[in-house]
Amino acid sequence: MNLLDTFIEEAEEHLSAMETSLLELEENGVSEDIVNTVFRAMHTIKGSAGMVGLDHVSYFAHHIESFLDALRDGKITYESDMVSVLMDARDHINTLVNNDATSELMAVSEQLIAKVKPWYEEELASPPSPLSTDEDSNDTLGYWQLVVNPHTDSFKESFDVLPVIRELSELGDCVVSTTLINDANTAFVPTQCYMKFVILLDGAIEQDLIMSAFMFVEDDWDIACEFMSLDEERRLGDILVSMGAADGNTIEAALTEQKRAGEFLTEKGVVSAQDVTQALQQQSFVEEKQANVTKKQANVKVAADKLDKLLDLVGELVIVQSAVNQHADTNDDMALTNIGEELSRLTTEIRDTTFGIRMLPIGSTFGRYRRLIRDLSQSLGKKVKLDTKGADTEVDKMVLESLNDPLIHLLRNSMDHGVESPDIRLNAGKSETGTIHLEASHRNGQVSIVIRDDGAGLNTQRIKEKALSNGIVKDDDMLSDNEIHQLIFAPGFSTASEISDVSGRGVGMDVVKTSIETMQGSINLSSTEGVGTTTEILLPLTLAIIDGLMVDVAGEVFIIPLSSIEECVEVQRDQSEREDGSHLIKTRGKLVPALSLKHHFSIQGAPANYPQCVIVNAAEHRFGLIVDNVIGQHQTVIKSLGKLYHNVRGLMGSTILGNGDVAMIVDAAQLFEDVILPTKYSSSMETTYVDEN
Amino acid sequence: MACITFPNEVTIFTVDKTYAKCVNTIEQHAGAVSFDFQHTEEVDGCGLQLILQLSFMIKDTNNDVVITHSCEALNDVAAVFNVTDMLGLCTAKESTQ
Repeated sequence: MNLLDTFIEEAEEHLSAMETSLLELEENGVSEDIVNTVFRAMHTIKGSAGMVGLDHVSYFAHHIESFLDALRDGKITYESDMVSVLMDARDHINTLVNNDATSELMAVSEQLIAKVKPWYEEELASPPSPLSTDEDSNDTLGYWQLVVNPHTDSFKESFDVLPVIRELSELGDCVVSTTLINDANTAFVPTQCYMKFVILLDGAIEQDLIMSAFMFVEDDWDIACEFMSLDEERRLGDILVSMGAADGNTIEAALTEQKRAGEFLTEKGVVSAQDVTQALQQQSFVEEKQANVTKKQANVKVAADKLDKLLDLVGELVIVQSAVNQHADTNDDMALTNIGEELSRLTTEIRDTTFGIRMLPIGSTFGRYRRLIRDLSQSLGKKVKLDTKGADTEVDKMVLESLNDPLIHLLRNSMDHGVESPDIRLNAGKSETGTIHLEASHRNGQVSIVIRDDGAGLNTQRIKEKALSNGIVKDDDMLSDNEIHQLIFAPGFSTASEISDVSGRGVGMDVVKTSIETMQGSINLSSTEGVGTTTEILLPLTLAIIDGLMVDVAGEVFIIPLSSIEECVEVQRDQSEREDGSHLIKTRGKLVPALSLKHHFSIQGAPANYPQCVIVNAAEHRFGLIVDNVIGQHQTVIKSLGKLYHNVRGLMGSTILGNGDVAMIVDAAQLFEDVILPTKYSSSMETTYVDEN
Repeated sequence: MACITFPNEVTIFTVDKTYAKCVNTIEQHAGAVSFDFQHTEEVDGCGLQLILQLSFMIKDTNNDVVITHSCEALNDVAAVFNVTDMLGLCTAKESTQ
């Protein structure tokens, strides 16, 4: 990855953090922390952009930074409409970062600068040099320690210490300790200087810049400027000695008494409590820097493709481990069995650790959804609040990326069709502001994402009428309200009377469903008219390895994902197969439709003596998959079927077994949709769902 | 409690006179001393040193120093030298509230 790519990636992270903070600012009002976060993001982008030669980005960011600096320093007062301008500035930087400087883009830059300029009175500082450094991006592992002893006659010679110390403190992160060194036996002369300073400064500041503060006094003052490594522990005693508040021997005496240095020295009257306080401030300054470095070092950026490669290798390892175990079992080799067991333990550990690396908190995407709701609220003239929960819920990186489009679609639908406009809500006795809840959690080894709004809910009658007119259902179909609601997932279905920018083209919900199912997930929707709609998405934690049930169908091995299996039952002889390969299986007092995998995949072979039925649950519907034999549980590494087979329905992928054979992984949801669902709505299959009781 | 009202300017140009006056007041009155800066508009490094010295002198006799009225100039200089707590001053933010 080159420097520019790194800059773009980091800029996107900063812009994302900035967006989240701006939304917080808009929601909760101004706070020092939020303004600082936004300022730091802009400051870093400005500096880094200059370093990679993106002067047009640096130029624009500089102006926005100046505005934020004035806001941070309290020179200007926060106004609510500043957020929109800053949001526009953030979006514009995003565009600038990813595009060359065109005259159109520069014109937009000037327009936005013109918007922020009137807010602050002070003249803008000169634009930054492209070579200007940025302390945030400069990873220094230390800090500057300055011990400053002004000359006794400094005040008399008109060299005040105040402007010097002020200049230093304005250079960056800094802590000043001031001590009066005045011998009790000597009379105090007010015009003489008795002050001594120990100043700790951020290590990213250039030494020349620091020393320039002493330009007029460096020959007369005693100045020691030393770069201190963060590896070194900064003990309180050492700090007090450097401040001149105590000498080394006294500190040694304190240590021999096994007391805290500060406590001991204050008790003995060697140093004042104020000296100890200042020394502790210095200690905190260093500890804070050390903690920041540790934090930075604790995170290592790794290219996503390297992680994917690692995951592939772990998959291969799982297959090899499976082969070793199978070989040991076949040959009844105890020694190999023991090795296989140890290998299994290590493989599981490596697998879990590798997956852990790929897991990201879902909250990292919440910011963009907040922004979406905010922008849509404004464009639709609605008042809507997004309430998020479970931001810490971790999801596989690939799942998280694939989840973005479906979630955006569902949120847009909630905004457009769900939450009503303020006047309608008030008339309905609801609060003016609607709420969309976005909640993530782990449930039964899966990730659950719930989108719940308190809007108008689905109009059951309109959906039914539309489904009838589109020929999706027939007049005599007996459908429950819930079944009618699920029809919105049918291709081309939309009840929106107008096509808007937000939704209504009817190309959404079926795509959402397909996307979720491609990830081996399921989507379920429930709605109450006038109360609201809840959509739940259930997804596997990872898309790479699943636990599956290995089954045999006329000598061919298939894997059925364990997460969708409810139970396995033996097929009774009286439950004969129909011509189309479908069955009705009696289980737990109910009849469930079942499908023969042998028939469906046209596999030749004699009928099994004791066929088994694996009852699965797909999209809240139970149905059976009839197989010849159930072999057992298998940890399954999912391999893509490749482009050639990518349109084959009913299979989500393949896997390699321990003996090197290839087994197909069954996609239960697709089989339900393709085989069971069409028959369900036909009159001939109505009996399928009649309870035998 | 003795009260010392500081002049409009506590700088290199006034410290000698102010110091003499203050020491006189401190020596004449035992007990806590209050500092009043309500008329003070200018404080420089030398002025702050004087205020610190007086404060330490009083504290050395086990008496308290109470700042009854602070001023913007003192708050600013004390913040630069990081002696706000040492002098028992409130922070700039607090003082505006």
